[in-house]
Amino acid sequence: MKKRNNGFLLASPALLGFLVFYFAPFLITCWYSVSFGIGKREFVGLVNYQELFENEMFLLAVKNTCRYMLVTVPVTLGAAVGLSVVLRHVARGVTFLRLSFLYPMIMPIASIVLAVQFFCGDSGFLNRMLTLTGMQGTDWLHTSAAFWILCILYFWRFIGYYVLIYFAKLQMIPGEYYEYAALYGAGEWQKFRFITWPLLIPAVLFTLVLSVMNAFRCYREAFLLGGNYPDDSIYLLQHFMNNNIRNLNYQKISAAAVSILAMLLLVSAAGYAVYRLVKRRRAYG
Amino acid sequence: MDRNKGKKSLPALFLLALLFLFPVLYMLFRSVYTAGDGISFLSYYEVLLGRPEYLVRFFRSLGMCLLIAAGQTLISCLAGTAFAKYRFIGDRFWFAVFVLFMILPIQVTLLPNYILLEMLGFLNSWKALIIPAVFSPFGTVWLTFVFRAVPDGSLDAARIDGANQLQLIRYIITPAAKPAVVTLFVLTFTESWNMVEQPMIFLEREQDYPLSVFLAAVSQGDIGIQSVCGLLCLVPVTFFFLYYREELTDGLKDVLWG
Amino acid sequence: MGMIKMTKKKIWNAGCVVLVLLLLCTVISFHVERLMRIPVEVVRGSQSEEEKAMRLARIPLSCYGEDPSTVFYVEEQEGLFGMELVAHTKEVWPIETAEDMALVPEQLDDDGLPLQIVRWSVYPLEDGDLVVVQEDGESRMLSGVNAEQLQELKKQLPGMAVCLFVLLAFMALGTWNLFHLQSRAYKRGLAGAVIILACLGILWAGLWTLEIPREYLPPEYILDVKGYVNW
Repeated sequence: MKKRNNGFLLASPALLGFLVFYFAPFLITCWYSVSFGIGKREFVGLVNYQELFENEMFLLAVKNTCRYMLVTVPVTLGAAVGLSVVLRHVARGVTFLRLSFLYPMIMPIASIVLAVQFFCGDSGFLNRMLTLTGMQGTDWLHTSAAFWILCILYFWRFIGYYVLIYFAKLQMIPGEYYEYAALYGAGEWQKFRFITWPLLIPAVLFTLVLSVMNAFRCYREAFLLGGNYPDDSIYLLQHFMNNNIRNLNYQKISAAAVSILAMLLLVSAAGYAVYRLVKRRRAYG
Repeated sequence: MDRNKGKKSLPALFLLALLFLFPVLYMLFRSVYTAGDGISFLSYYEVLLGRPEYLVRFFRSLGMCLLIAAGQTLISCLAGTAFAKYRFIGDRFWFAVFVLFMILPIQVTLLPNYILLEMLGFLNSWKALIIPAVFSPFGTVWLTFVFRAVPDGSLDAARIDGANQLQLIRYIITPAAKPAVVTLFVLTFTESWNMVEQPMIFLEREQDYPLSVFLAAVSQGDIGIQSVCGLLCLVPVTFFFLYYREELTDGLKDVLWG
Repeated sequence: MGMIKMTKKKIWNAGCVVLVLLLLCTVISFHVERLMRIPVEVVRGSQSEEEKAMRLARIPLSCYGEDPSTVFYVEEQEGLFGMELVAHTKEVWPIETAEDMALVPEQLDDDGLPLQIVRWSVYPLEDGDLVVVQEDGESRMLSGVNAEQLQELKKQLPGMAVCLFVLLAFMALGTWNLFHLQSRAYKRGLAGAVIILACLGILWAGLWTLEIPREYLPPEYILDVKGYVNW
């Protein structure tokens, strides 16, 4: 039974705080994005947006961010599914394995940065190995290889999280399903395709949202490893925003912020529509 | 047949696990070994006994993050119950807004936040870090999904017995969803323990920086000290991780759509 | 179920021990830093009228150590607990030297006041060392005032050891009580916390009375055994 309006009091602290610290600032951003001027601001319409979409750096940032997500998300989710299926067959030490895969997610960034610098830095491990075999090493973090380093970092950091979720969902599948399938001569791949995969789909959709969130979070590693103006391949949206904050270029940032929100809104609306479609098909199919 | 398969891949998996734990092992190694001096525990002395500043920063950050985690958990419990079990004007709209803002990177609201905090006079104190973090929409969204699964029957029974809202939350809903609530606490703690952008922008003096920024910003200097500080950084998070092991694995799987 | 609970208890206990040890280290490190501050004597450049006009000053030759071109100066810096004094190096070339003074370009700090240049220090300074300014530092060392202080301290040593032992015993008791917080014995846990905090407070206050003259501590760090042996 849901009571009308009684919940409002309960939700009010969260709502109030959200309004003050998240929503209101965003509204201010919207105002800034359609105005211009130091001191007195005047409405200028969509001029800022026009400038923004002609800005090279912004387009580069968008391209890089999309590219990053398109690479990391499918690979990580796919590997997580595979890993969790393998883990199902492991008898002992599952907990230790699951925990150690999860650990990178909670490790403080500073230690990760240290380790990466050890590996890929100028006098790092990788370069030393390369010189041993006679090849030249470079400062990997400042070349276009930085993109792949960041991808590996994402993979390493978040795979445990998704494995955990998939593994839990997999454990809810009764073993009898697989036994029946085996009786009818189904192989491993068929078992996966017809039993495991359909039951995993809701979890995968959920982790899709999570993985996008986490991809945004990787800005921190990119910043700590590459600085404010990193190599072109890892110049992300947040770099763009950060640098413009230093220049106090309010218009650009605000326009960028609103654009990011709009893009996200579009993507999640599309995603939600797909989700409803899939749900309806499954209900009828 | 399944077990055999497991046994074959076990060593490979353990090797993989070690790879995942690599930074920790590396830091342990660098904290005692330097290329010039070999094995020495000098770094441990300098961080733990030589100067109080590392430990003081550690405890300050610990206090701040515990506050943030506790505040966020509390507020999210209240709001999560409201969204899950009650209807009120605009609840669907606000929930969707919460979800949208949850996915956004913080840079989007960082600048207006700065202006707002300046107006409120919170800048340059840890209030600027604690208060916005406490009101983050993440916890509310998370707990709403979880609380929806709490059966209404037990709530109604308690209401008939005369429980008011707060008692409902404290004695029925939270215990029913304990893994998820604990997971939220640990995740929020970890997030705030790693907080880097906000302190750098909202705090002016280097003295006020929490441990996370301090480590990240002081990249030059003695690598032994850095490694020990890094290990120190790991301690609270590892503690929560191990202590709430069961809750974490249960809590993370509770939130599933569909 | 039983096994899980037991591991949880072990982790809680380990966490408590680590926490209390870290708190102990914090208190001790505060005082270690205080004791390891190197006493120095400072002097500001002296100027006669004409030297002032030519923007020159005189400083004692003892300001220069092994390196005849750098001196140390003392600066106030903001530390975690307020202002602290730090020694920095600076390149100051002497223009000419006479007897025990050197003529150098005027050294001013940001506010236009003459820099405080280190004339004497107990141990060789390094850039960034924490210092404490003592008017009569060198004379205290040479005249034996510090030696007397050390003798006094040595007499109090058994008393201090006993106090320390008692404090540590209480802290162990407090920690053990804290262990019970895990099994929801809140009163006991609270009592443990109070005991620990009280002991730490007493330790912190008590250590303030500890004044070991710096020259009896090793130059590098307080746990340097070799330093004690040499001395």
